Amino acid sequence: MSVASPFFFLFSLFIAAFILLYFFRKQYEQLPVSSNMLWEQVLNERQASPWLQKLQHNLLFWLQLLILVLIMLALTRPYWYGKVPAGDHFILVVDTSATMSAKEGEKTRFATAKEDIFKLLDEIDQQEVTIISTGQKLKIIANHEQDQRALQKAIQELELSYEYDAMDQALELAGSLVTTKDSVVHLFSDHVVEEDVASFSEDQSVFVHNYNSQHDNLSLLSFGTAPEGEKVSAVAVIANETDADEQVDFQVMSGKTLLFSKKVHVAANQEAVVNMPTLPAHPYYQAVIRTPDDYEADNELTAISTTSYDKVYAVGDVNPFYLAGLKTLGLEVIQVDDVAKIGRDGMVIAEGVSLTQLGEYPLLFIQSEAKKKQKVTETLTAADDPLFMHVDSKKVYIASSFRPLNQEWQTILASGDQPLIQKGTHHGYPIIALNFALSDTDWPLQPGFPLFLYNSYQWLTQQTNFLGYYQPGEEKWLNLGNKQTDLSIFTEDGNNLYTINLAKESFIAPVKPGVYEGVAGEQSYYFSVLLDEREKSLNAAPSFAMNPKEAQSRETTENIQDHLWFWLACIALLLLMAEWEVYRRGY
Amino acid sequence: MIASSFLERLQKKRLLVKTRKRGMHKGSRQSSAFGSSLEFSDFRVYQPGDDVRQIDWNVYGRTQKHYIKRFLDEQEVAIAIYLDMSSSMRTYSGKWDLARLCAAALSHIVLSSEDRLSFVPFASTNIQPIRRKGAVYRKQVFHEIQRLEERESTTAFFAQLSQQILKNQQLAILLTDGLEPLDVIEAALKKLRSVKQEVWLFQLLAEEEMKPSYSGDVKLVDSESAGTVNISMNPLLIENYQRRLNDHNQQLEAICRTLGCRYFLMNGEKDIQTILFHDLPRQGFMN
Repeated sequence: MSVASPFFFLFSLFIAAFILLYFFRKQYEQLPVSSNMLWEQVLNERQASPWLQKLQHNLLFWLQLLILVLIMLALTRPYWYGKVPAGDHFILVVDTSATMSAKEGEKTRFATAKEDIFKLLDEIDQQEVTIISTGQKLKIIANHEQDQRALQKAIQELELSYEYDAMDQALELAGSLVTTKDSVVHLFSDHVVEEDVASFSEDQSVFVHNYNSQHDNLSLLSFGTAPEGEKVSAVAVIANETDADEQVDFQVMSGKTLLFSKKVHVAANQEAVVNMPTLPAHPYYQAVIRTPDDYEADNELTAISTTSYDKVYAVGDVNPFYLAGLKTLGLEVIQVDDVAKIGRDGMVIAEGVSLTQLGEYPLLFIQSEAKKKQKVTETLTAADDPLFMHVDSKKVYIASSFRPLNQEWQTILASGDQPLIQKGTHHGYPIIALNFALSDTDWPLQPGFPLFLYNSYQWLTQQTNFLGYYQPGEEKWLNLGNKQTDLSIFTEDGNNLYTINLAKESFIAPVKPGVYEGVAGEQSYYFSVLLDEREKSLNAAPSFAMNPKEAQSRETTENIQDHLWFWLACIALLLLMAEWEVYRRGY
Repeated sequence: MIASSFLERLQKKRLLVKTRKRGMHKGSRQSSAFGSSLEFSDFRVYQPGDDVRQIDWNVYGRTQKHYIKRFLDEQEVAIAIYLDMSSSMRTYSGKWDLARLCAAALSHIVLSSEDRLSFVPFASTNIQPIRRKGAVYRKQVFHEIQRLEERESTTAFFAQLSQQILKNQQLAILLTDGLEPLDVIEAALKKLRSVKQEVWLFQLLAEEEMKPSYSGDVKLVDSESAGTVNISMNPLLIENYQRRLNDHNQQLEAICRTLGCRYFLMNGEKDIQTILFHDLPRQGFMN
């Protein structure tokens, strides 16, 4: 046996108060007085008024009578019928794609949809509701939920996901949730048409709410950059979905600096191409069309400039084994004699040159002083570093080494306390220092040698600060290779959105399109979140209802409202308390 | 303690009794009867049978007729002081002290003026009345009355009074608080008046009775009948009570006036000196 409404155990507080009342009945202080004659007269006069007397005399009677009547009414459990929408189970599918962020009048479509959902929820009473939100991953926010507060909270917390709405998948899921009960499906989107809902059974009642009144939209379809020598060239495509020719302001910015601006004329229902052959080099670019259309999310695109680092500059007298190894990696090796000719698009490998002669670029530096050699006597120990991934250091034989140039660089390979391979930063750029001559070792004969070169190349050029392009909310596992595992995501303005522990969680891109910065330790990386191509145009379709015939005949059904008994019982309790007070005063 | 200066001042006071009736014995009050005091009253023609020693020979020498010189008589007045010793008087110590002090002072005055004192404590269990005459006893009587004690609870002053009226008194002074039904009081006063005594009713009320300062829920226990009344005090109620008290006192005064008695309300807030030397003379009770 168990209890249906355990909430009412709180009534014991009331009972405790009642018991206390009996203990703390009115205590009369005894006072001796010479004569009560006059006091008795006073008391008699007070009670002499006939109406008051009658009332006091009968007060207890009337109160108790009222209490009994109220209890009787409460027990009879009166109820009446209220109107609620027809259906036992409501399935709401909410479109959270980017097109729902377009404005209809003052509010976005999404906000209007949310309001309509709230209205529907208000009418629903004790019927089950399931809410599905669309996106690359469908989410069921509420499942057969009857609690109004939980439902309203779920809807309130629903946010746009800016993903492409996979409406057919959502409809399939909705269809699978339709049980034999009297279910009604409501779709809140902007472009669902009859064909889409054809997957439902013949007599399933479906209400489609499309929020779109107009589809005049100008969008920036694509924007791309490519480095050409020192400069960067860019191309952009603007689409005009309206029926009139439009003039738009097209701008390219990087952060706060305006790099390019042009007024572009686009014909009706046509596309226009904008060429920008020379743009100054910047880490990232933002292209924006300034137009007062309602759909803002598709008016902006970003491009990250990727300086490709696929060249290797060899300076000085580099051991040919190095060059051969790098060539096998597919890199272009360029021998330069003049340090000044070294470009910015590759790493530099130097031997036989003094460090001070070199400039600022990713550097693989090999020492080669003829003097100051030390014998390597102890076994080699390799640190657990990405540079030595898949490289077996135990088989390497090194005869002698040079003294390290900089003791503060991190030691990768050491013999005892002689660092043989170090990595660090030099003038702000990464550097790997090899403190031995390749001719003193047998390393080139081992398979680990090209692997080491490959790792070194990856590490040196990896510092390009670019993570890539992502879809809104895309999840991906990242390994940045640093010891740092916490990546903090900042918006362009510097607002910290969230922090991810890369060792435990996958990297999740932010939802809103734009440029973001991720900071891990001291390194910062840029990445860009782009809208899905399919979300760039606003399709339109009117709202309709399928098979409302059954629903229409009883648009509303009757629902039993029988919570009156509770209020009657409360009033009866209050009157009981009043009656105790009257009794206590001893009328 | 009573200062001796108080007693000295008291010695000079005399009660102003209006009645012309006099007692039998010699006192210090003038009587219209002819007696043997030194006050010359009038001359009367000698009648056979008069005392020969009263003939004024000076007048005979001048008029050759025999005249008797008559003197006013000095006689006493018998005063009875009835003190209410019921529990209602003894509830408040201030009231009880004042009552005893007042009774003692009045007795002192009576004895000082060579009048015959009968002090009757009512509603007491074992105290005997005091009958004295002569200024010699005044100090002793004063202290005796002032120290009267009573332990048991006793009731009903006026009811007993009706039964125990002393006859042959010229003045009856009643010291009570008057908190009894008015009909009983009226009956007693009527009886007193019927024996042609002058009646002075001194109503003594304590401060706590005139201005009660109770609050909250109180159970008032009557000192005499042990009856209880449960009252939730509030200022309105207290005002009502005070109004009733005033009504009662005024009705008492009206009764006294109707019957020809004299009424004086003694307020327990005042001290004995103010009452004896200021209020009572002003009202004409004393000189």
